[in-house]
Amino acid sequence: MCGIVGYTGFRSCSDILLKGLKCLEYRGYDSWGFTFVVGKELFTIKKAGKISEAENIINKFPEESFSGIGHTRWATHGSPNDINAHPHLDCKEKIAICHNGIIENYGELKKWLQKRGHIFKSETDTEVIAHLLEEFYQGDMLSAIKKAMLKLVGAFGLAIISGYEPDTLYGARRGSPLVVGIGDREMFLSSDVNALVTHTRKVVYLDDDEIVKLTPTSFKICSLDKDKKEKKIHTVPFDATSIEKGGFSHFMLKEIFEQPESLHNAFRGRMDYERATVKLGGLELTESELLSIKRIKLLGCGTSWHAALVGKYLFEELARIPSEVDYSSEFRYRDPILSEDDLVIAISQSGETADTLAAVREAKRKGAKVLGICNVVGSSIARECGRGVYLHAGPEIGVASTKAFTSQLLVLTLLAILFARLKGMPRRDALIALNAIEALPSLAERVLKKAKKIEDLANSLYTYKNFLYVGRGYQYPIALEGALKLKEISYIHAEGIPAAELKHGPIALVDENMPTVVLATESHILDKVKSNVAEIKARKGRIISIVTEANHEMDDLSDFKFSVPPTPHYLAPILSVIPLQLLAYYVAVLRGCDVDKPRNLAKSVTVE
Amino acid sequence: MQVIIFEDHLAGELRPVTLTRSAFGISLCGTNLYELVRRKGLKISYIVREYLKDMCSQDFLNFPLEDESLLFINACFPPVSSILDKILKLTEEKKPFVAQRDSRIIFAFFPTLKIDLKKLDRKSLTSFLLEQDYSFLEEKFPLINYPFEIIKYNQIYFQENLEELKKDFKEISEGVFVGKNVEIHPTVCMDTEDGYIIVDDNTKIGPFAYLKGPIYIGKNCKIIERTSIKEACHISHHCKVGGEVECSIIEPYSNKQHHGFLGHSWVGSWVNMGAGTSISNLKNTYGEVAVIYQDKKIPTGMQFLGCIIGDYSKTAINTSIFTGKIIGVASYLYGFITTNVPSFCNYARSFGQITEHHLSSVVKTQKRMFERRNVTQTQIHIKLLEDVYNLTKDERIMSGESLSL
Repeated sequence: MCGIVGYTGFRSCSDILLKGLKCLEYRGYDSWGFTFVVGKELFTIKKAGKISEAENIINKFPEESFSGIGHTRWATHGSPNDINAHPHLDCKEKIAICHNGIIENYGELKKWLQKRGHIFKSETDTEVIAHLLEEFYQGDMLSAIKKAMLKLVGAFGLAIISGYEPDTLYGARRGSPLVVGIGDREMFLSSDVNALVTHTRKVVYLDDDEIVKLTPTSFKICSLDKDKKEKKIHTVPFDATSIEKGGFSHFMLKEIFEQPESLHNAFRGRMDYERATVKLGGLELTESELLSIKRIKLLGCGTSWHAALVGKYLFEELARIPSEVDYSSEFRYRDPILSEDDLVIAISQSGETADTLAAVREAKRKGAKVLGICNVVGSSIARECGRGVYLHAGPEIGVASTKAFTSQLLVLTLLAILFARLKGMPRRDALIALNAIEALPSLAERVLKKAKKIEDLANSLYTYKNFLYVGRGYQYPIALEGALKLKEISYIHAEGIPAAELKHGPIALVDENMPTVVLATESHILDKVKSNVAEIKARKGRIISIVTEANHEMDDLSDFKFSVPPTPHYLAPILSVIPLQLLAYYVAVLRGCDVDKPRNLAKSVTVE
Repeated sequence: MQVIIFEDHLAGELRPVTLTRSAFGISLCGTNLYELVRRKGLKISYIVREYLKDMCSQDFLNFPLEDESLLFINACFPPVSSILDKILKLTEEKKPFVAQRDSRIIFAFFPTLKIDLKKLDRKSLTSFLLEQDYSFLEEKFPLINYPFEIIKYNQIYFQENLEELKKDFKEISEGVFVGKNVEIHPTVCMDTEDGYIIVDDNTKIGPFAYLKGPIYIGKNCKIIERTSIKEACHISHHCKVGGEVECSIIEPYSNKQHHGFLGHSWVGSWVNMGAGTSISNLKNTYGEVAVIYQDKKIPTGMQFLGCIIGDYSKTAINTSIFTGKIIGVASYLYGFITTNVPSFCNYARSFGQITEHHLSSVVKTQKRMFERRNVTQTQIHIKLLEDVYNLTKDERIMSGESLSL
């Protein structure tokens, strides 16, 4: 996720673009950049770091520029540095573009363009677009954009300016959001309305495969197959106050609702249907090296540790590789036994978790292969591992991790499929997994549409002082995660336990004052879960069940039921954790807690 | 309302059956899915794998999308008339629904849905449908997940389908229904105690044949003297059949003319089975048959299961195929067949010889076979063989057999 702004109009654009970009910083903050049109030349300035922390940059901007584009980046391809920051330019430095999204076929396009003499400066996927435009430009930018779009596979929201048409700004989208702001003798372009509302409330939302041509006094929208499209002009109902939260009251809620998109980004460009496997670019391990791995060690802290637990189930069931899970903090100090046939997978959203970073170093020292699963590109763990898989979930601001967790689960599933196929998983089984993964964003959307049900449930639960979360198999780590979410942000004591362990102790806690959240989605052990829950019911405990849609096996036992759509059992955690995230959120709000900044907690734990 | 029959991501995995045909064109229970839906008076559009489009368009009309009330049917749904009627009844309520099984959509109905079939491919269709508003149906419907399930569902639903299909035919004796120009020798013995017998137009049944229902014999077939065809047999058009056939499906233009047993099997198109070819459909232990499918042993839940033979394959005289074996497309078999056979192989393992069967030779043989049946070989036929040859390259490498190529 990145933020884009663009302007063409009668005013000097430097201040407008700078303020606009600051409004979009929540979309990415590892680097920033601007290109201004000055006369018929382009002036570009870009740097690694946060735009909000860049001092006095306005002084470096040209005074007499009336059109330009700006970008705040969340790295996906290429580490966050000055060169990889947007905008990117063509060889002649006549065309500049800002991009939000991922170009899946950039590798082959880059090779093709290099053969045709184009010189690349960055490691990004984005730069191919600038060179493609240069390749196709023959006096008509609109036609060049169309030709380039036909070549591109993946998602993009683009802002394009050029020295050839100094006061004209172009936008194009496929998959990534882009909105046009209509002013009086001025036009705006942005990834979302937040950057525009201080200037205009009249906006047009672009749809996929649409292109907009903006001059100070006109806008024209066309699509790949139509020369002109009439679009409705919307009036934005809110002002600039709720800016970066995109209309949500908290980052956490916004991030919960972003999960359909973040899940999509986690598998975008990584599915290989033809060979029924997955492609993970940053793995840096040959097929024979992958086959030589005899054991997998998964490391993490907090929510990432829960993801690691699900990973163990995945690797053992799908790929039949013995797997173990450790807290990073424990692993590093217990002189772990490792060999070169071990793969250590370090999981951290920020990539800066001090304990996990130290554990990675320890694993490397002992000769094991290490691999990072991180969200932040170029983070310490990602660099230390030297190989890994990024989540591409976009920045996660809320301290309680939500979208990064589901992306971690998805990336672990992709890895497990990759190993499984090498170890003889039938094509058919892999195709089932790939197709079910492809459907996850739609299914997550379906779960989120029922958020009101969880909000109502929270109203009847928020005064309780203790909660139990139970699940079995893949859902046991989700029980832990549900309990952790509640603890983190609402300060209610909650415990997650395997359902069958109830009778070995915790059931003594159960009475009418202890609600139990049961993860009871369809699986081969649902009957066992039911028996465990019956024991709670017999002790007057209140049962809140997360079940599979159209399955009524838990009807008699449940006081409240929330259903998630059917999916293979190994993907079910990705859907069933969403209602638990919502429950924790709504309970915390009702209790008046500071959801995004819970007491005593930090987003990135960079101390031991 | 318009029907869209779609191949999902797994339709191509019913190898070798769907290597050369769309899943909705698989014959079973006296019909195929496309024909069954067409019988209900519905316009059909379909989504199939790219390389099959030309071949499909020759046999199946693909209507342009005109309606916004759409019923999606998975091409791997076995053609069961009663279930389809139930689904059609549900659509009358005008409420959107989805029926899923094993994470695959079987039916999806939307009273108003705008789609552009050109923009939707097989991969994105499932997620597109799941994006809509709908409720899930609780009932579990059948879906062909593995090739051997064609034989399983054929047995289960055969008789109830014939109940519907018989309406198009004339009853000449109790439970025996025939089309036009059918010739049944007076000595033929027909047993309809357990199910109907339907014999379609222009088919000849020779002397002393024994037919035991439920069976369906398609158009222009020749059933030779003393043939025995028993229970849940679907013989497609232009087939020549002799010997003993039980609970099996034979696709169009195939010959099993001579003595020998074929039981609980699926035989593709343009297959020729030499005299004395026999198939085992029961293990000596009387236990459950397991098949090796994509290098994994899959229990079938079936005590009786013969073999699956892909299109254009041939068996030499006295070939014996062991229980639950899968034979690919265009392979020639000799002697004892104790393992699965990849596509495009000369398979004489019992004589120590397994070689690749060259594509050019298969194309030549196809031409000769077509000429005998007055069918013109076109570029579409040749291209399909080429595509299948390329698609099955991995099979030949990964089959575990030491092929001397």
